[in-house]
Amino acid sequence: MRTLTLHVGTHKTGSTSLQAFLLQNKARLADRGYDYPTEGCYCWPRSGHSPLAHALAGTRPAWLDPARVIPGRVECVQAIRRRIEQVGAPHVLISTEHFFTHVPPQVLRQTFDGLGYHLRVLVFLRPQDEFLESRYAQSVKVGRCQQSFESFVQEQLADRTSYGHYLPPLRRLAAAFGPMNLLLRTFRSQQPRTRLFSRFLEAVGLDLDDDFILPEARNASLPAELTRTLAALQAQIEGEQVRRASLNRWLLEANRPPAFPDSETRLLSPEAAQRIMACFEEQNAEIARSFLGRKELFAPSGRSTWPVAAPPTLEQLADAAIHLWFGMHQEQQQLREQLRRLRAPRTNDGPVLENNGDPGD
Amino acid sequence: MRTLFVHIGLPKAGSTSLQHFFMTNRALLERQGVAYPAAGAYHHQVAQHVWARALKGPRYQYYWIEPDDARYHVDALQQELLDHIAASPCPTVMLSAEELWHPAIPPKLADAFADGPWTTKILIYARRQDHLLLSAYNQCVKTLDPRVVDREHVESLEVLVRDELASTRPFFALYPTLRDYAERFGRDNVLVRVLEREQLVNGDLFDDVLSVLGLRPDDRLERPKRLNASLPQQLIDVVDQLNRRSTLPRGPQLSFNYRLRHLAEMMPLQDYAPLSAARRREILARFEDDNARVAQEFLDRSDGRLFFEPWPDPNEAWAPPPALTPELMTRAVARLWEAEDARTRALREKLAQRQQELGGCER
Repeated sequence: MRTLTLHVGTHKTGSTSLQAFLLQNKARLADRGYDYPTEGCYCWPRSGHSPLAHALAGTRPAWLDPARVIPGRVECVQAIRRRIEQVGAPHVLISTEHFFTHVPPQVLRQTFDGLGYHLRVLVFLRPQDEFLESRYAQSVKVGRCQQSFESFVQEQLADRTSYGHYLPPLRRLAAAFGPMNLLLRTFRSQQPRTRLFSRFLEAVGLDLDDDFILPEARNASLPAELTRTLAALQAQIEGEQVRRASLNRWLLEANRPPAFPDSETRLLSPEAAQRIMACFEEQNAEIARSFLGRKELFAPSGRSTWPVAAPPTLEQLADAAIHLWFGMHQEQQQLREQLRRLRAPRTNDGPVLENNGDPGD
Repeated sequence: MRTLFVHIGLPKAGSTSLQHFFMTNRALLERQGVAYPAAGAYHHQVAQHVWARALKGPRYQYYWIEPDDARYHVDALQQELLDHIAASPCPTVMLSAEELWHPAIPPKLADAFADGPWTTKILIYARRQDHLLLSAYNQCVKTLDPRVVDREHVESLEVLVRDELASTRPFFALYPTLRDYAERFGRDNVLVRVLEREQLVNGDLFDDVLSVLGLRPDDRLERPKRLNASLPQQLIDVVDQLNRRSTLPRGPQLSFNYRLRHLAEMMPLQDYAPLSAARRREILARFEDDNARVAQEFLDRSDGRLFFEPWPDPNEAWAPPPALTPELMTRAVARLWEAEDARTRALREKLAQRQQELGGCER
């Protein structure tokens, strides 16, 4: 039976890593009869089939340069269908977490109907306490969130349509594709990275053997202390998301200040995590019963205590400020140097640039 | 006979303002017979700081001067300065550097200028010690330079005050150093002025210094804006915290501190009194006799009253300064980033514009 598997996320369940894995192993997958189509306008290799999801939903990513033209729905759908038909592989893999949040399941189904494939939907779900932490950290990282973690959690719990309420969208997917075609898997933050890939491959009918290459870790979690610090800073900055995100550039990844090492701390205390999971207990049990035929959706994490990140301290804020300023200072020096080089051969009228106001000593 | 005025401070008693005044009005003052030498290696920014620091000793010199650079050796600087003084046709010469306020300086200055064809007059603006200590501490934080008060390290305002009160020769004790100057240059050649509005000519520092030089107030002389002004205490706390955490090299650190000063224009900051009235009275009591001798010997005031400002009221309400909070620091970091971001964007735009201009020319 020819299968077409739509990996639909959810967000914060290793989708970026999975997409990197699929891209890196495209040839190996093809050897095994699995096509992961990446060549058309429906795919951005680093983020899977999100252009297709946006085209189907009529949206565009907030971070995208407004000047950049993105493909429309018809163009995108025609391109992916043509590609699948042309290759005619026994199995097809499509992946973007944006399907879960952006695209009505019926629309998703229609997009791939009639190609001669048995359609399946693969969903990874993460315990809501971990999911909310990770979602918040990501929102802060991209400058989308200015509220405190505590108020974010409150808001999410109060809103019955918020992301952590997995049951309603799963029901809609089941209605569109058939409950038997809904493949549910769980994701936990402490699981080994290989488990994500092996679970994915197992779901689509493959084994993670030694031929597969594991991608480097990407989209790694921020230390909780840094998330809190960034959120506190962004709460002070007015303007658009892109502006706030540009502050983060100076404090993330290679620029991360030494005051924020990797840590085991979490934003949630064990008690708060329990309270969150209690809010979703009934719903998760229903998902487990309906789609997995078992009682519990998530196995106990095995970790009952952990350190909790405190609000930013004066020392952390000072380190962030120094780090931030010095990075910007160096960039400004480089820009001045470039300007100086551009001016030097053409003018002969004294200092090239005005003094930058530094006092010297 | 020419007159050489040497303004020796005090540090934190209007020196920067005076130096800007001399520098800005250099040409006009020269036409009125007052030279302000500024064309040599002895000069930095607005005064003869390099020479004064060299005179004090190598460890006081600017960080950006290589210790082995012969151009900045004290003798070379001294000679260059003397040459420029000699070359000036002006009957009066003014030198200014608050670094000259130091017990080690009077004999060195006497050696430097004793043989010249001029009368040397030492000019000092005195300021009350409670104000001086607070202002000097703030300057140490702002400039990362405890040498402002001739120390290797200043842990806190309270430690500075405590050490100054306990010292047998406090840095801001006026009499001993003025006496040393008087012994070498003559008592009549040590001119003590007091930085209090009611004691300055026309209540104005610049009119006052002009009167010392024998000049009348002149509208053509440009008055500098308020310079090196004190920062609100909350900002001093922010800068202090950042200095303590920083491992930046000295040059970038100074640039950083300079940027931080502008936070005062970007966010509301409280200015509170870090010293209680009781503590300020202790400071004044420590210097009371010393100040009285200065008033008697250098200003001929038999009542020994050097400063007219009343002592702080011991019953004045006062609360210990509030601790710096992460919330305030967060706001400061955000404003700092905004300012730097604007600066970076402006530079990028300038570069893009320049590149476009060049592209246009080439077409």
